[in-house]
Amino acid sequence: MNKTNILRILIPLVAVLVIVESIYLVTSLVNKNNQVKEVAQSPMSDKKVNISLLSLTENYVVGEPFEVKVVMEAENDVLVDAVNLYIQYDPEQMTVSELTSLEAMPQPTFAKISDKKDMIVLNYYIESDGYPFLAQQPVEVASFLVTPTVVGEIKMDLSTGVEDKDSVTMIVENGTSKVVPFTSNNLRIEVLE
Amino acid sequence: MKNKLGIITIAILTIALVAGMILVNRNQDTRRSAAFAEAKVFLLPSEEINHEVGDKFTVQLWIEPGDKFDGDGKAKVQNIQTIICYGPELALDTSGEAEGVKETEANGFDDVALAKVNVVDGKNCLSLAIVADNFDRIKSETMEVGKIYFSSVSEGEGEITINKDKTVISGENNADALDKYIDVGTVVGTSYKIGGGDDPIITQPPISGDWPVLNFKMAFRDVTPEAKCAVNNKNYVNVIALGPDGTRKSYDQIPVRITNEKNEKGAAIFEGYVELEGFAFKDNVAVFLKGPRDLQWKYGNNNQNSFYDKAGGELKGLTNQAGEMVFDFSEFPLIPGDVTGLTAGVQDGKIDGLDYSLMITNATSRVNVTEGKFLATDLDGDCWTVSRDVNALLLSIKEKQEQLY
Repeated sequence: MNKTNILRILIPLVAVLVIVESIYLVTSLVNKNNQVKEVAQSPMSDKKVNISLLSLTENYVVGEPFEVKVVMEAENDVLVDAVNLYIQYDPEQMTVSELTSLEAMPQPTFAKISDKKDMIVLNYYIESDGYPFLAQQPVEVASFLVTPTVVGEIKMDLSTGVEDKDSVTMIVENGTSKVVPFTSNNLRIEVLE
Repeated sequence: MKNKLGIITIAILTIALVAGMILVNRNQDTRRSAAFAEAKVFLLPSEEINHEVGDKFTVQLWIEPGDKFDGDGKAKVQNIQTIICYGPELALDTSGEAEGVKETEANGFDDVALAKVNVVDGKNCLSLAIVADNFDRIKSETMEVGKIYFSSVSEGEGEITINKDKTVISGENNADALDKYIDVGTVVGTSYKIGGGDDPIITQPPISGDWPVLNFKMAFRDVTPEAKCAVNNKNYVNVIALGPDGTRKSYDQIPVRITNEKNEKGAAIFEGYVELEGFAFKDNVAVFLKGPRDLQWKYGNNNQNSFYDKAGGELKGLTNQAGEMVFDFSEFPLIPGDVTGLTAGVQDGKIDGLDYSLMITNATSRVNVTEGKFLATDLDGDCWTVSRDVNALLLSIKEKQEQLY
């Protein structure tokens, strides 16, 4: 292949490259008009979270401990500064033990099974950037063991401060310092002898 | 000859290719060549904004479109992207009902596409983009584009400026779909002055001599005598007296004065007194003290140094004179952290996520006051809200929760 043939191939090739690049240049300039809309805004305060007390055990029998998990799931992405969980139980129906904070969340500032108030307390205070709950992604926050002591229905509820004004389950949004509303799935189980 | 021509052609095309790529990658300012009109951007109020630390206020972003260059009326504004800078005395307010930045829907703007604050050379700079989605609603008149919500975090004065070079405005141009840019003609910011606020002066209620007088010493856990804001215009406690028959009487905003003494942990000891008007008991009394950023503690014993968990009280020997029979509660100091509640800025008697969130927000902004002023989130009285105060709040939470649960 002589020099003339090489040039015959190279010239159209470079010309095509220049044309393609020109089209790309013009397209990118036009698209710049709309770039401003692609940036996400800071989270707002109208978020919602569901808190569930879940047990996967099939049969509940008096005297046999089973695991309950506290699972939180956000409806929309939300960054939180604080999660104050208060779970009330009836000591005449059950004993509660082995409260464990699961690894998904930072370690709680305060965690206790309180015999004084028949309450499981989990207080999370997150450092400055907040903890992200992502939409539709359940987070296993903590677990504990429940041992039923009576036959029949036993229950555990999130405390909202109605019966004990100090024990108010609360989630606070990062940045806005607003309370994030929550729904809850409390625990209701039938215990056999 | 033909080969030389070919080589030159390739060289020129290659140079064009490289130059094109450089242009693509460079952040080009094409507004001048593509602009079809000019506009003025300004902030209102234009006169100096005067507020006190803790106050919240809004600044409005306005735009005044000029005539189109082709003479076909005034330009319709669709998008504005800009950077607005202000001093550390201000913070973007996203608490409560404030939204940081809010578009003005009445003028056709639908969305705040960007509202992000960065610190540049010691100034807070808000990168802001407000957009209109609906061409039918956009306007060509002088109008408000959006509101910026500020909170005053420390004393000082400065300017809120619009960065002209970083301001991009686009709009509807019927003559040419590609020429959408509107030149930024002039930008006009505004100025502010944030004062320290005049706390109401707490006065000592007079003593009539007709009722028992509670003379007491107390301490705020983290406030040392050296702290520059240890002495402020909110050096007071609310007092509740509890009689042996369950009678309760409240006395609000009783002034306390700093002394030269420290308790065993190094906190400054304050002293105060209050005539318990309408309270008939001098023995078997308990009192509750609560500070302006502190939880309420019960004191049932003189020289008490831990939580008092009994009903009633054992304080004895109150007289009708100020300065006599001084009860010392300073070794069980009030613990700070109750700085807000569901109503912003109003204590609710608890330390919870709301208090923590406000503390984190203020610590991030390093909210501060000048010497001798009160700041609720300055838990140790050093005039600043910093991570040390956040840690103090967490300590209070642990202490209170251990007590409750």
